[in-house]
Amino acid sequence: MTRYLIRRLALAVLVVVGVVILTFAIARLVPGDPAASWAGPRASREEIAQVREDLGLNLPLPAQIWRYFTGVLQGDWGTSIHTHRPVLSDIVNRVPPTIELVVAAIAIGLAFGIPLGLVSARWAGGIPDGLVRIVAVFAVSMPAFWLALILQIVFFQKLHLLPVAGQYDPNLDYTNPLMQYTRMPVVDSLITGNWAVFRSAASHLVLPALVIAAYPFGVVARMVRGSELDTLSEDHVKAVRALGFPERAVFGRFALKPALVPVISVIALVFAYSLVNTFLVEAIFDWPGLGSYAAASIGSLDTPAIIGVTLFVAIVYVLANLVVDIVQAWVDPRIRLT
Amino acid sequence: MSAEPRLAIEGLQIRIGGRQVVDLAHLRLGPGEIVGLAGESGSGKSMTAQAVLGLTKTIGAAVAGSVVFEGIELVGLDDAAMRDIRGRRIAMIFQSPISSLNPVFRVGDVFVRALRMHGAPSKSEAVERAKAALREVLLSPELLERYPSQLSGGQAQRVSIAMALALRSEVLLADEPTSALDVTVQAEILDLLRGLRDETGMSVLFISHDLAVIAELCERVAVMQRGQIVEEGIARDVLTTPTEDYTKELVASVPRIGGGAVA
Amino acid sequence: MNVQPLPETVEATRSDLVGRLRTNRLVVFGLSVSLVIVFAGIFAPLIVPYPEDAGGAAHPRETLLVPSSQHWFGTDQLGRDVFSRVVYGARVSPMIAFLVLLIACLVGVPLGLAAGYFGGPIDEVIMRVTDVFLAFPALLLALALASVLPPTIGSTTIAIAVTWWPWYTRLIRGQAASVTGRPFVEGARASGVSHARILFRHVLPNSLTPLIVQVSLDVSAVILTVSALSFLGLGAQDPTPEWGLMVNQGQQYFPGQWWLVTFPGLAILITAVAFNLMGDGLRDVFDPKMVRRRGALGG
Repeated sequence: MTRYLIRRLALAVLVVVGVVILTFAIARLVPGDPAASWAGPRASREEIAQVREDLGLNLPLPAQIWRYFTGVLQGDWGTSIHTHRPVLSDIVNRVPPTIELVVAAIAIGLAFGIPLGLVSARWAGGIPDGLVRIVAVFAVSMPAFWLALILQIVFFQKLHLLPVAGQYDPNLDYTNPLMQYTRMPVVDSLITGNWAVFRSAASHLVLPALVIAAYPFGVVARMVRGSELDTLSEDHVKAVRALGFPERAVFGRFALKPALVPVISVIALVFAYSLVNTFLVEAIFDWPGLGSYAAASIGSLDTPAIIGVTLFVAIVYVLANLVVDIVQAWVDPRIRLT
Repeated sequence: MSAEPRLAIEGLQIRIGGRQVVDLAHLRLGPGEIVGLAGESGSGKSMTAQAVLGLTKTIGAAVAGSVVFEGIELVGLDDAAMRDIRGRRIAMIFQSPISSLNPVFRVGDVFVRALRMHGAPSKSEAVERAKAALREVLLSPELLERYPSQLSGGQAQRVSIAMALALRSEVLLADEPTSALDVTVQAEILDLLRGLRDETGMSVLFISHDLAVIAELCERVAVMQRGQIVEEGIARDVLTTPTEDYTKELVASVPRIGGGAVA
Repeated sequence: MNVQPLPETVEATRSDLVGRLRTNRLVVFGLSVSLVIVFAGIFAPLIVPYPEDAGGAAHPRETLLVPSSQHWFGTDQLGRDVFSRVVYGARVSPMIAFLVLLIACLVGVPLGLAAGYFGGPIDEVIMRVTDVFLAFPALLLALALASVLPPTIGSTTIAIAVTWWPWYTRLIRGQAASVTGRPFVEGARASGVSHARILFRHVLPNSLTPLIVQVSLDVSAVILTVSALSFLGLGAQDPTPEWGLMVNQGQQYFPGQWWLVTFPGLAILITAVAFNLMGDGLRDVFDPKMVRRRGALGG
């Protein structure tokens, strides 16, 4: 297992190096003057010249790449044109609300996707199967930004059921101020026992999380269905049935465990997809996370911020894949033994 | 064969989607007998064995006829009773030994669970019985800790046989158990089956397309073609002097080293 | 008694394929809706009531009208008929998607063939580069690229195509490598058959089926990516009737003038669903696993 871990880690490091180089390429790819784009539309000629110095644009390419690389490693990811703060610190500040959102969304996706996928497999070809498949295909085909707007209309405008702006009711900052540890209101209010904020935070989380959860739910449900059906046709299932195990155990234990292995691998992909989906959705819900930061940066052509967010999310994706691969190898011995 | 047959199949008909795939008039398996079921792929041999244990339901096959095991009619038997018989009284082993074991569970996990399900009083007792069974089939008991992908084909097949042994099954349905193994390992498995029969009186229905193997192991043989039995009798007789055309063709197609009669 | 032998493997005969396609109702639905959408796009000028509204027209006295019998989907902030624009949108997003996939194949497939067939250092280099591209979530890379390029349909197409090609390279490489490993290729090489001939007559045809299935499954993903880019302002610009752009523009009138956002978004959803179902169907038809499932009946 350790040998597999080391191999996998080394590969991840190599990929991250490649990722940094590719983002460098994109940043320099701007038609026109990369320095002007990095400095922003309102920069003066002197500021642009300064940026050109800083970025080393006059240096040969390998030197530029090296300078960029060392900059990234030291935490210098450029300065946001819009906020005038270092991009990396902007990103780190905006991450917690997005973590709250994405984790909640994936939890919902798994909590509904796995059971429904199994229902679909259990009654394959029948009505429950057809229904689940239709819902799943809609979930996977859903434009996130549209779903966000539609849910807003339905649940806020028409039904007055759920709030649609921010992470929790701002008035509570006066009446029940929240102690911040993780800077995720749901978690902080839970650990400090601040029930007023918890209720508010939870209800504010529902709609955005549902929107982001749609894709993971659809993917997981479809995958579990396919994987379970494939596993059921394998020899070892026949063998275990021949040993006299009840169908319930055959389906729910002996077929399920191997069937879940490919589902684990898809979680990283779904996580990354959801993370990027927040770019489309957070602004609509006034959610102060990385997604709305990214969307705002794109809107104002804040190149350093855009590149910074891209690099950040890509590195997170590499890490997520690493974690998922390790979990998969732990669950399915065939992966680490071959 | 003077004793009452342990397993008696009469007029077994299996249909899948309107197509009749098995029409077996008559097949008997006596106590301690090793009977071969020979034929090419697609002749319905595996279907027949699976139908004995009621395993054809999951592929939507309709089964009619009679399969009597120790006085119990298996066709149409209710699920609970059938599950008692599976593994515990009639066991089945399959062609691809490693694929027949669940890849994400340790060998011991399934083995011990099966023993507990069929009445072992405690986990430690089940583990002991499993270990004893592994030793009987000449495997190290520590294989219980391994995963199937860590076993060789021969070892995996012995594990499956060990399970039948530990559960003290009276009948073993062996569906092409050596076809995926190389010749030397094959010989060991055949020896093992013979040894089991000698020690415990287990009856074996040995399904194979390989006539040479059947000739070596089985006392009687039934030849199947397209779901029907075309010839049946004592193995040596049927395979050296076949009466039916189909059997003659099958026998003729077996390559012989240095010529001469089979077995 | 008519006893028939059990088939070893169910080789998919042509009538079998069509039969299976026909019996799956979801797939038939997907296929027909996809065709309707494609044809609506092609014949848009002939079928919409106000074709000029899909272009630069503006009607200042008819802005933001509620859906009615004259304007089925209402009018937008410039007085343009939303229905006409939505139907014209079927020319934009799907077309961009097809272009993207075409470019991605033209770039990705040869690279994959080269990597899988020649192996060695060529394979290493191509696959490492592919790995780096695939280390980015697709939409993210496309966003980054599109944001440094000028906001046009062309940029969107390039940006997404650059993001997409690595998937096909990886897919084709696997197929090519396994076909190349087969003895008959060795034999062909030994008898002096040229690389090109082997690639085109043997390796490529055997790799096509999974590619076709993957491409058809990707259509809806690309359409969603295109509309996401336009929603963020990175792609098509006004007056192009791109669905994502229309949702973006309609946001500020939301929820009062709900029709500006609802109908274009619905168009995206239904198009994506239709192509997804169609892709599912093609995969079910060509997927060897399904054949293996039938073959598990034994003999």
